[in-house]
Amino acid sequence: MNIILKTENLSKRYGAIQALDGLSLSIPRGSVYGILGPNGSGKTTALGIILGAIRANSGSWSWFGDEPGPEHLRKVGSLLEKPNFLPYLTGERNLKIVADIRGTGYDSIEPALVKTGIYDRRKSNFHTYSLGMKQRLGLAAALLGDPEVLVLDEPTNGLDPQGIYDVRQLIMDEARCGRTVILASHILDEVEKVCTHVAVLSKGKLLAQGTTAELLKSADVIEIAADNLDKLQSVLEKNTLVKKIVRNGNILELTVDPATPMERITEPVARAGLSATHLLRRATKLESRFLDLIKGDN
Amino acid sequence: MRRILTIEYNKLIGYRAFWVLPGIYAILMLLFFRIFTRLDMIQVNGERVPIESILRMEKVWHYLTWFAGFFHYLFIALIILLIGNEMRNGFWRMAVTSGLRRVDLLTGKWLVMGILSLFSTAIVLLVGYLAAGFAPVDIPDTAFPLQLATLFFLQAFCYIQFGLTAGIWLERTGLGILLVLLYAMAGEPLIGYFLPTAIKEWLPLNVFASLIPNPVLEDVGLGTSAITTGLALTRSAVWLALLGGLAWLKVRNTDL
Repeated sequence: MNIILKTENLSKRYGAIQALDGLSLSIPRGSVYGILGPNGSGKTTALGIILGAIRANSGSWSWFGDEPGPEHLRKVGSLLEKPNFLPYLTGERNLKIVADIRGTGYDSIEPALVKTGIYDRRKSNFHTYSLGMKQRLGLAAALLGDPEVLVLDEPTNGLDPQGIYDVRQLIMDEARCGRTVILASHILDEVEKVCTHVAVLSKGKLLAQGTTAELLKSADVIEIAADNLDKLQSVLEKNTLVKKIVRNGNILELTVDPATPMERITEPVARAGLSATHLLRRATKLESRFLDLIKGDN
Repeated sequence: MRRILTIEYNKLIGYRAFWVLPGIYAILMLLFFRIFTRLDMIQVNGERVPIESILRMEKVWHYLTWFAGFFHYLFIALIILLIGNEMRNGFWRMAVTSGLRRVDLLTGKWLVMGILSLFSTAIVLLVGYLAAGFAPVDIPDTAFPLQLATLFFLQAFCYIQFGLTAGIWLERTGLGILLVLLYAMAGEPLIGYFLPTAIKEWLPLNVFASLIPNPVLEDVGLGTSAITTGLALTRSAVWLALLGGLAWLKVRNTDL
């Protein structure tokens, strides 16, 4: 597999706070790689390091299989945390500066402005933009010069529902063109909808990584109920295939391996003389998987 | 280098302070010399004496460059504003993540400092030639003062480098300007007061000021600056390297 970005044991400490703790990631070419984590989990720090803005205390990383350098970052379009532009310049002038830095020429400015829906306000000063418009300009800057990789940190921040939809479409369009997208977000729905791969961070540590499908398949939830819930629970507690039992009102939620056949759960229940009044198997949503991981870490 | 110049140009073209502060400098210089060259008498040590006896106009370039040195603080303020704006608005972060080398952030500023120093030197020369035209006495030597112009350029560059380093370390525009002015007006004289002369003569603003010795002191017979121009040149070079190194240290190691 062709790896675009590889990090090994990246660590960063801010005083007493360990912002990143031995992060190792491998991001395949052409993937939409979601970095998921609650606020303060180290997502922005990780992206800041790989983009050269933040100094790591230890660890290493490589872009395109090489030692990282400015020449690699010119092939990476990025939006880190918030759009950073000079407020007294127009949107277009700010993009000219980015184009000069990346050495892409000014030809890609107009298409990027059109694609992000901010073309009509290109002559306005940046400080007159709304939060959503600033975010769109940040995305336009990231798209300049047809970059091989897009690194987007919370790209839907400040956008209205239409804007959020537009950005998701844009990310998926870019991915369809073969571009690798690295997307940091704490919005689970956003990651689940657009990402092919996911890494989950908490307190600077990597809790899990893999394809979104693998991560979602790692556990299923079975909802079960019976007239005698206490007896039902004691029967299920003896079943080694049940990883976790959560009592939710009159229903027990069982966490099981996705490969576990339903009969291996229901037969012992029937043998105990119980009949299920409610039985439902559901695949894990990223949200519940994420919350499980975070709870486990805590 | 051309790419960095283009980036700086695109940044500065819309920045009002970049045009206003040098404009104020030019106007103030022109106004001052317009007034000064119309004076007949001047107050020295409580006595009014004819200006010709004090201001020996064959030294017009010396007076001009020395006096114009007081306006370096306008350019110090400008460079602190530029740095503070860029750091506060996350421009440096954006530039580095887009592929600009950290050293290029400084190279851009050194180019701007060179342009500002050239501009202030050009204004001094322009005012000098204008002053010659308006002076109440004949000016025997209005030839191009290459040595003084070079020293003035260097002095301007050194002062602005002082502002650049202060701006980078302090990061805040208002605080940066205030602290530099406080240091220049009170800090360095106070520090100098408690130091042995040999060390006091190494203090940065004292060294930079010595590049163009005070001509009034010479003319009223109170001696010249404590260190020679040659020594001031050497020490300015040391300070320039030190201040540049300090600025680089911060830019290289800071999290943007």
